[in-house]
Amino acid sequence: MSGHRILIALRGNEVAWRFDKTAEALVCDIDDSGGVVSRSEIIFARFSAEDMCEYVLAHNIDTVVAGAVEEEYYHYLRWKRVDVIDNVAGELGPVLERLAQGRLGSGDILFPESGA
Amino acid sequence: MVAATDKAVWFAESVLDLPDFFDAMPIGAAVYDSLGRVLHLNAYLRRLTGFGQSEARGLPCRHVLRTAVCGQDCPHLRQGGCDQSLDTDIVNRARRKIPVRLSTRLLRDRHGETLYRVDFVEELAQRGTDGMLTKKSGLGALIGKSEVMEDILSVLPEFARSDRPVLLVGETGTGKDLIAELVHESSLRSKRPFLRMNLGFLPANLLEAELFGRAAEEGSGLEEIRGRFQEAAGGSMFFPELSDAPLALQQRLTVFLDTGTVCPQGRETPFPVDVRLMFATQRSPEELAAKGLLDPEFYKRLSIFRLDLPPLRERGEDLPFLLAYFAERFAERFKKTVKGFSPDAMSILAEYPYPGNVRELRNIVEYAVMTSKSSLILPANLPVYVPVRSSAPGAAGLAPAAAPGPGPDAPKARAGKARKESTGKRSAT
Repeated sequence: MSGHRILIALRGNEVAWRFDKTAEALVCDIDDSGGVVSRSEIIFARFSAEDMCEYVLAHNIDTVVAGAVEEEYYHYLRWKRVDVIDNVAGELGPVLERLAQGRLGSGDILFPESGA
Repeated sequence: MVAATDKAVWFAESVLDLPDFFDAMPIGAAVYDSLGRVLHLNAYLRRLTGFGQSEARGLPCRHVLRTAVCGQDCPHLRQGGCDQSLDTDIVNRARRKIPVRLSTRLLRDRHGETLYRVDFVEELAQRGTDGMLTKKSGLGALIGKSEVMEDILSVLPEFARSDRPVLLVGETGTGKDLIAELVHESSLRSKRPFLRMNLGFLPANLLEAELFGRAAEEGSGLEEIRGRFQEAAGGSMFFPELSDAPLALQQRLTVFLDTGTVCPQGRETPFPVDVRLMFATQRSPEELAAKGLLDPEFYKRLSIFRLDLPPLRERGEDLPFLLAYFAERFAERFKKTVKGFSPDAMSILAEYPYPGNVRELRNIVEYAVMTSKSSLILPANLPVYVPVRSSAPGAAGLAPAAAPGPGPDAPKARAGKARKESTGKRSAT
């Protein structure tokens, strides 16, 4: 399949500030032209980075987006050839928009009121 | 309501030089507006979190501190400060999880209206695998009263006074990590970082960049990496398995030990950095050298301050002491009334060889205390892989004495399958 499957770790309407402290995620497929062609919300039974990693590998996720990702999980996902865009802070809308445009990078801060 | 930016201006332009005051504090401090948005991060907290002042300003506090309790037990959500400190952890922008103590206070004006909330963040030492803090234990954390342990305890202050590299040799579970931490904590570097780095964890191509840093490369998409050496400046770095270091890296580390400088990838000029190196290994360094896995020049520099840690089976007189020590600590932790071991249990434990050394002993005692329902730990409370002699009372028909142990972490792995032991019978599973 062409396109890209993304998992965004969420906490409410924001990118989860801690990958290991959330049980919510949005999984979406982005086609080659930058369109979001499918999206589904996942609720895990508990806060667990292990569960999240397991899901990522089992569902052929290409890229994970989150706030803080501890190095153990970061390197594990990278080792499994999953791209990790971490240290992202912002609400889902702007993050997804920038992601679809292929312009989201690690460390991006997308809260409008931030001083960055 | 005053906007965050107005308050930030007031904060920055107040007649009091508050930013400077906070920056001079020896612990982390973050100042927030009434909505919990960052107005100021002091220098300590900027270093700890990895956020710059301008990056953090205006962000919700949870996206900057990123503690384990953000969103759950948040002082801001309670609309007030918290009287008691909270032990939690943060994950900083360098992806490190750091245990911290968080205290929150409110700054009010004369009319009692809240102007700012201030979080104070104190960095704590890493916890041991049993969940017990190791930092505040000092040399007392190294338990043992045998002659060989007394010798080790007597040389550690000398190790701590020096800046030379340290090499710790010993089997798994003999306390290499703890000793490295104690050397750091007892040294003048104790207020500076202690970084533990597992060299076997990273792909070889990333290893040197992670250690020494990497300059950003325009066009290639390579991000700048702030090396661990820079992060550990003034402190110590501990490498828990020497044999994970490739020869090329050993040669670069030799250069560092000789010159005190490192050179990030993509840069041509080395710069000085003050870091003390400590290494540990489970393997014999002589054997590693003979196999060509240890660079002779590197080994020569490491072998000056070398400490060989004895396995538990060679510390006979420490065994009852350690059993009693851990039984007491776990009884307190699990709120049990355990006072000690029955003679049968003690006899079994005295004969067990402890291939996982003190770590395994601690795990066995943790399991035993957890499953105990009386004031004495019985053979039935011991993990099944600890062999019971057939002559031991109440042990007939149980696990064979030669049953191999599954390793030092087994009790924890089995905790979820705790056996029915209330009858005092052990069943081999």
